[in-house]
Amino acid sequence: MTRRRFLRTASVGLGLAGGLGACASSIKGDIAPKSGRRVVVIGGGWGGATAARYVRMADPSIEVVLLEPNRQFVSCPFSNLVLSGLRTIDTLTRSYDGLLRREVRIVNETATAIEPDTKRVRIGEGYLAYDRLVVSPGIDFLWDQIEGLPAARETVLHAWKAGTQTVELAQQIQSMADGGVFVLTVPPVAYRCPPGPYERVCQVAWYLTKNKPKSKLIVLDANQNIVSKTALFRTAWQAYPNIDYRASNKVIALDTSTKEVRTEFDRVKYDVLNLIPPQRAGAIAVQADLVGADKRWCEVDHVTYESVKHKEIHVVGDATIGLPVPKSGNVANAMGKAAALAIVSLLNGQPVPLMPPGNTCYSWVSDREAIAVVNSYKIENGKVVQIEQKLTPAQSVSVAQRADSWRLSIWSDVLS
Amino acid sequence: MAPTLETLSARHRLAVVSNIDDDLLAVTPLGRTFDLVCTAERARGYKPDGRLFRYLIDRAGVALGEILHSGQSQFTDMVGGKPLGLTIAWINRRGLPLHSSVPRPDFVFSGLAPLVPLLAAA
Repeated sequence: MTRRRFLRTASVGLGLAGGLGACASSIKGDIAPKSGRRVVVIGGGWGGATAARYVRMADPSIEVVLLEPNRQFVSCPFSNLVLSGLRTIDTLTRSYDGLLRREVRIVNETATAIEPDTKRVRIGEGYLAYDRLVVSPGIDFLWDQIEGLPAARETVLHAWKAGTQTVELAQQIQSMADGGVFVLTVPPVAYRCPPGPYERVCQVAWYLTKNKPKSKLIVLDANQNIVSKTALFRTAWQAYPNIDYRASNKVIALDTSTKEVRTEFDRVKYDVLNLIPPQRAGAIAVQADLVGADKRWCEVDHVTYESVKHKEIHVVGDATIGLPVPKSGNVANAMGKAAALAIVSLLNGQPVPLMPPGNTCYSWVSDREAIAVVNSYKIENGKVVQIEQKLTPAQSVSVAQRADSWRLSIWSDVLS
Repeated sequence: MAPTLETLSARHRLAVVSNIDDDLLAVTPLGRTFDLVCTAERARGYKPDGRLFRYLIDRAGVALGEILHSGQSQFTDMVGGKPLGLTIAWINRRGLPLHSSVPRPDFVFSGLAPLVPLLAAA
């Protein structure tokens, strides 16, 4: 199979990344005048970084500008292992150098507005023009759904975006006295990474069992049961008698002065609190009116990931709703690819390929064993439908080894 | 798979690169012809041995950077092809993780359909 000029020579400079990136927000007017076709990507997480990479690789004649305020990529998958001390956050942190080598132009700024009519993304008083826009903003939190949380949002940790809070929460757990109570609250669905809270329970319970045997872990779950891999987590938790799991216990209030959370039925004292708030799409998606009637999530076309509300704007990753897929890194990666190839096809006047997503999700249940679920999908009449879901029969070391391989291979697919 | 290959054949030369002997390939219903046939028997080497990929590269009639190899097996396609500089799309239909020892592919897809826009823009 042959193609022409598939690998282009690296002749274009990286001026935007090296020069404008540091001061783009102070520029008025057009930050980087568009000379050819351009795709702007908002958000350099799993979906956005993948989309940026695949657009550049599929058609090097299309310029790609990635707006990402963070200078490094930090993986949410595997970040629960930081809480148990099995990993450091450094091992989950990757640079964007691979994207720079693909000549993705990275601007370390936050998009402040989207103007669909003029096809511009606002960054402060400046703007970037686009032909197609990819919005991959991840999630934000609905702070005001829990009384007392808005005032405490800087001190009560969610650690649901891997990074500084993950490290801080790990330090709080380590500092907790033996006999202390760790409280973890699980938000109602839909939220990022359905099995994530329950993997976190395993990791914290494992750590406490080994290091603070008199301590216990109270799980206040807003949902009626464990949301994902239910039976496998139930089995794993049998090894941790320090877990006190309370289903249908939605947290409605918080009082940091008494170190107490309140559910609809109860008051629970904590020594260390990990409160994962209810969630919605990232702020720019809400601000740009990409969310649906629920004001939380973005509905998209299942083939192109184009917003149903605004043409030529594609939304990928955790911010989307309506597909029968979990909000996972693997799915965001698949969406990023599909959106990228759809955009390249549309810009080149070609048919859009059908690229159903796939999902593999691993959860670590101890220091050495993991479980997994694999979902496969197809596209039928323009909609994504699930073909099947397979769970690993039991937790095992070999699944954990596959998880480690998955981590490295998908990071490469997102960032290299 | 067949419609994708048909579409691709309009603008690109197609090659089959297979760990197979000629007589077995002759009785294998491929459903179409290929511009170049690279078998293990002809190359005198099985993937991941580099001889089969060198056979492809030597006879493709285009520069190395103009070849896109797609394959399902990480242990034959990537292990054999990446060290020689081939651009590789790994067709990962079952969502398998890559073994840590395997060179990274350039693209990962769950089917062949994305190859059409990928190559249309090349």
